[in-house]
Amino acid sequence: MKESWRLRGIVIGLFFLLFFSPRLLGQVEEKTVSLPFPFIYFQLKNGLTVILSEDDSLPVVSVVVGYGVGSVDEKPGQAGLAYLIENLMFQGSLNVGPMQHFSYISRVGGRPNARTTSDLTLFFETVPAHQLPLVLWLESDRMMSLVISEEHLESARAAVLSQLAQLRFQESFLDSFLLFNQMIYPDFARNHPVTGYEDDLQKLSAEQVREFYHTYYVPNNAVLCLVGNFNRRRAKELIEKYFETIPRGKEISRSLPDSPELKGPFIRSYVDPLASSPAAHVAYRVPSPFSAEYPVFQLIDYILIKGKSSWLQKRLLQREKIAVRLEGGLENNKGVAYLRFFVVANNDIMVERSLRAIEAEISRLKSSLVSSEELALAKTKYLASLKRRQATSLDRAIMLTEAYFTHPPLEEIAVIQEKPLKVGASDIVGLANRYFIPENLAVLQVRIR
Amino acid sequence: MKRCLSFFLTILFFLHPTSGQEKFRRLPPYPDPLTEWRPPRLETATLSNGLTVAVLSRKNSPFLSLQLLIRAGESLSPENLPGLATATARLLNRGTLLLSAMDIEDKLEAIGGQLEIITTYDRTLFSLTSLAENLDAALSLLSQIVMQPSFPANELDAVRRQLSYDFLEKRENPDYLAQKQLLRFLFAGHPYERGLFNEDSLRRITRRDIQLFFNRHYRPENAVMVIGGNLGLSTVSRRVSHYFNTWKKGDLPRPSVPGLTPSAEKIFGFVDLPRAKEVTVALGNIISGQLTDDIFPFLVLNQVLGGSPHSRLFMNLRETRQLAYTAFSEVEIFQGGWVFMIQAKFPPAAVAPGLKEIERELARLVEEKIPTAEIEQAKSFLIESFPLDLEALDSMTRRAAEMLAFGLSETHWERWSENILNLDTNRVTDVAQKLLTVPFSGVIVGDSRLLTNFFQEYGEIRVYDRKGQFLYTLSKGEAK
Repeated sequence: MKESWRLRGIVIGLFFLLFFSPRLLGQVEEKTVSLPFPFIYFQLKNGLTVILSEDDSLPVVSVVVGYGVGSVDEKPGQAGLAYLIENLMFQGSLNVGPMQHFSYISRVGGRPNARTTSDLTLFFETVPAHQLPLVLWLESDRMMSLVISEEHLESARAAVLSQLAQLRFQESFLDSFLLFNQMIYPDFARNHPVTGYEDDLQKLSAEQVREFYHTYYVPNNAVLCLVGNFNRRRAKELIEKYFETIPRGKEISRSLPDSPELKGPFIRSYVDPLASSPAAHVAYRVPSPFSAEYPVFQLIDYILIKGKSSWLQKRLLQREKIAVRLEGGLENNKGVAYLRFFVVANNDIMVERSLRAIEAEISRLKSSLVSSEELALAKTKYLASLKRRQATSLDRAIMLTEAYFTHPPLEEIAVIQEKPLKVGASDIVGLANRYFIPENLAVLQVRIR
Repeated sequence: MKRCLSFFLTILFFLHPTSGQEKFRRLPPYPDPLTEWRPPRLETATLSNGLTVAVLSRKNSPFLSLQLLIRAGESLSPENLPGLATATARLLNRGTLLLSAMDIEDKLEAIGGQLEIITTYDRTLFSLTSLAENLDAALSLLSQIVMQPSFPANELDAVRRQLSYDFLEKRENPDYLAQKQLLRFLFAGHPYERGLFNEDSLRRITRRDIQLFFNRHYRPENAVMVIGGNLGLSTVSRRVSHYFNTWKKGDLPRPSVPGLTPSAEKIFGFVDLPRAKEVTVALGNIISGQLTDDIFPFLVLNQVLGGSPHSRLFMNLRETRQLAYTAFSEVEIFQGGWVFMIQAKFPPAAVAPGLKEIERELARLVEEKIPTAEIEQAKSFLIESFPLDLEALDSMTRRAAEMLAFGLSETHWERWSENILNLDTNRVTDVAQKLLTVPFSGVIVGDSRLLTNFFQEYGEIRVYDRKGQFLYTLSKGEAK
């Protein structure tokens, strides 16, 4: 009798395990996070991470599908492959014809787009809320069955080459940016442009493209994020329907070797036949984005360069009026970070003066404590930019997707984002002295003919 | 034999790539039921000095959006001083009685703010966003900028330099060049022509000119302020009144803008842009539509023709004939009339057939009845995409400010869907026949070396430099 009860207990236990275990139901444990705004996330059994954040203020929903792939995953000779696939994703999949993705979304009043960076590829749409099934159908089709035929490849290649020519035409400093990237990132993975090289793009075969697609554009290397006006139960039902049967891909290891130290000062100058004015690039290598010191540099970014009240913008553009264009900021390239500046002036003398002014402002940061007012101002600017990244449903969906790839686990997103707000003036002076040193410095002066 | 054939067909069916997939993947799904929604209510009040104040509430917004619109655009610049309205607006945030330009930037960023100043042909807009908790600080700063400017002379040079640099940058942009040259044709002889100024005219503008323009036009009865965020009208009216009640009413009547008339002549222009791989084309004319009666049918008409990538122009020129990279149309509403414009990008060899196709599509709209299905699709696009346009707080408030400046009622938004829903094919076709029978002038921007064949085949083309100066005329059979 006892045995039969035990057996019955095991059977009931198995029943509950089978029918209520989220893992066996196809979902790993669901986690709820309330900051910076409420969202939940879970994984399907094929490894696809799903993030859902409901907001009923407008009848709109934004969908982001992010893949953990970018230009850093390309091998030498394949520069531009990830960007090419971004384009190919609009050329058609098994059930969706060429450019139909675009047409389906815009037909219902929606806005489709995509973006490839050095380590991420994002596809996103904002649509009227009741069109959610359409977006999920479209995104699942290209995740499952992208058509990589010679014809589609040629069409995507032509589009990318045309964009490349257009970019070269519009940005007269493009060559100098590429050259400077090669100075500060010695490894191919980090130093080649996301848009690729024309020669490499011309040579890429359909077989190479297929192999790259089947390796990286798989559910276990992807995130599906929904933000907006939807019913959670209905959204889960649709997601399971369209995504759960997409086969899991092979496990991917994306660890890149750390980029070697700069061993500067690394100073060069060159004549750029296409540049419209003299200019200069400046960069300091700073600690990795995963280090405890990084939040201090996130704040230094706002003190030195971000916003019109920053030290360099004020001095170069407003007070001394020696530059006509100044931009830059903290750059994170797959675990390697630089604080970069790019300055354009009317002549070489003004460029030299701008370089001296940048050096002087950095010395100021190293030699005295930033005042409490300036520290508060930098923190407000940082906070405002953080909130601007959450302004619309699409902004929030992109932020969550990027955060998943850069700062797992997602429960800590608010804590990580708030770290720069806890930085003190003494942290800044200490780390500025440690990192703003000649060994971490690279400068490229651009001269015109 | 029959058995053999069916066996063969069965094998073929299973070998087809779509046969192994779930059935639901083959066709696009039906949408879910439409979500019920009413656009946000625009509440308005008028302060004792004549300033119109409006509020759009949005719960949980981390930001505030303030739009201060002054009805003082380039059309009000004196004929001999084009650019004066722009220079005035740009100088306002360069110094007040109590704050320097740098103080203003500091104060702005201390509230997590951003200020954009835009001068158009009809008006000037001060668009300020700040963190939600800073309403008082934002209003205080904005009131100092528009009520107590000091017009520092040295900053006027900085404004001129910045505008000159902007012009230099824009002259590399083929879309900008094509649009501006087309508007030079369409606005010839009208006060809007002053909005097409360049850096040369800025040199003539003095600090005194700016002060006079400011004194005349920057008046509360000539302005509209729209605020969006987690706020109500009573709070906003109180706070706006606190900061703006000393703004004195003017004593001059508001100048009116003469109406634009469609150009009866078909003019073609060319602007050389060496190294440009694509050819950019802008075609258009003035449309004499009535804002109250014709705007909704015309929006549907534009949607059918070229409002989005599934409209006729894009589908025909790009998808079917593969002549163009892109082809779109848009209608821009001015106080004096509407400008309807088509913009397309072609490979150099496809410009001539592409232009013919655009003309054919325009003629089709007038000569043939638009199928009901196409009208219904355009209508649902306009209705369903409306909330997307209102999602960003600053674009919502900016749209509301424009709406009030045009004198449209607060219910314009609330009736948006209704006004579109009631339209049918006959009404849209009537509007096409009434408004689209004017000839379309055009401007082509591209690398002249790649367009030799086109110049030889096409008729008379006027050639301009990138600043809009006429150079010479090319006749048929002539190459540059």
